[in-house]
Amino acid sequence: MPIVVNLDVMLAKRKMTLTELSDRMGITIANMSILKSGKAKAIRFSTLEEICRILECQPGDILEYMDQGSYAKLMMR
Amino acid sequence: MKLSWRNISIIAMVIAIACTLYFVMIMFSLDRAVSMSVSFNSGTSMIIDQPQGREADTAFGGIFQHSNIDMTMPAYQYVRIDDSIKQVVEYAKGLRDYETGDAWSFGKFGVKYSEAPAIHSSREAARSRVTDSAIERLSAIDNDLRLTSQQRKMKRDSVNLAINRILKKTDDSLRKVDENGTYYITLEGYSLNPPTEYYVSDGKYWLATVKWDSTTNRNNGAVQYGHYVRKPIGVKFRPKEKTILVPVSKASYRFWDVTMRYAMFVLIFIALYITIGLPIHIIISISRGDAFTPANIRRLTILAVYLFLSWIAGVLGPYIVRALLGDTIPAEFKQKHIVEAVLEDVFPLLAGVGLFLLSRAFKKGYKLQQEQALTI
Repeated sequence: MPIVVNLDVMLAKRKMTLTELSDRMGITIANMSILKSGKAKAIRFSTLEEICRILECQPGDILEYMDQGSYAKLMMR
Repeated sequence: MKLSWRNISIIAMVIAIACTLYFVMIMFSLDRAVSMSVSFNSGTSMIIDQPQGREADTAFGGIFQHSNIDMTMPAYQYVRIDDSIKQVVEYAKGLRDYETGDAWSFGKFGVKYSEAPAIHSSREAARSRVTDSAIERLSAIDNDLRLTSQQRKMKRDSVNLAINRILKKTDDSLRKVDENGTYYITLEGYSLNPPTEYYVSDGKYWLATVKWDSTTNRNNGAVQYGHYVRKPIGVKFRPKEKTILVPVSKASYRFWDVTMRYAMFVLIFIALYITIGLPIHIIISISRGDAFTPANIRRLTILAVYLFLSWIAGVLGPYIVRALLGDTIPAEFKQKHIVEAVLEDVFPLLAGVGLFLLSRAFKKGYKLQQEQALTI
């Protein structure tokens, strides 16, 4: 899917683990893993708002659009 | 659950199609009734020469004979003669059948074995001997006062068991030596339109069809003149059961008998699993909260396909068989119009369509469920 979730990049910048983020957000680690791995089909605005509040970033820092070719290259890596 | 306009329009279309089919079926049956009365009212009539007098007794197997009664005859003699003539005519027309043997069918297809008359006589003679012996033994048991009621019952049961075993052994051994039996494939759903008649004569099968000689126009309508001609055919007909019997070889009979028996068991098993087992699976999974699963979608699709295929086989099967048999079945034998056959048995089709639509709905539900599950 051409929308890429760069959650791990922001977590690294804020020196936070996925477990900490999921604890602070009240979402299970399984769902956070789904989001981080790019398998999620949709994200609620409320969830995106909470992530941006905790990681002190903008939605554009978390979500990035890629064209199909670049996305395929990324997945192959 | 809120229905979208698209779903409502689909449901409305299905209901409209069902109602249209129903009214078309009524229209067909009305059409036939109206056309018959129109032909009467317009005065078109038919005059067909039939054999008369002594010729009627033998021509066309005697199906046109009738009792010319001497009115001075006592009533009981008249009734006896009339009855015997009726029996002869009914036998010639295939309305009476003195053959013995086996027959069974699966839907509109079946097999029949008619044993040779000599075998039938031997069987009856053997049965008579066994029955007489059985009566003697059973009487002896009943008259033996030393036996208790339980002992008497046990002895009677063992005698009856022995008799049945002997009769079955006799039947099987006679069947094995029956070289002159006749074997048939039976096909239901055929009829003859009047004035064509079927009859049996000299052990062969015939059709009495009308050859039209002339038509005269009168003031009150047309009059057609014709006479009967006979035509040999290769199949036997039973008018009461509307069944055609196609003679086949013993090997063919055995092949179809065995094939149909195995096919029947397999099809019954499949039908029971699909119509009972699959719905139970679906209900169990829904009760567990797993309604929209690929397995349920597959089960609903299988149910829909099964209903549709069984409808096709049941409705179109006889027409396909006739097409395969070609000229074996004379053209004078008519089947129900295919549209009429389709409309008469339309429920499995509608049920199949309904279940197919339901499976598509479940598929959409599964997709929405997956999206919901993967929405963070």
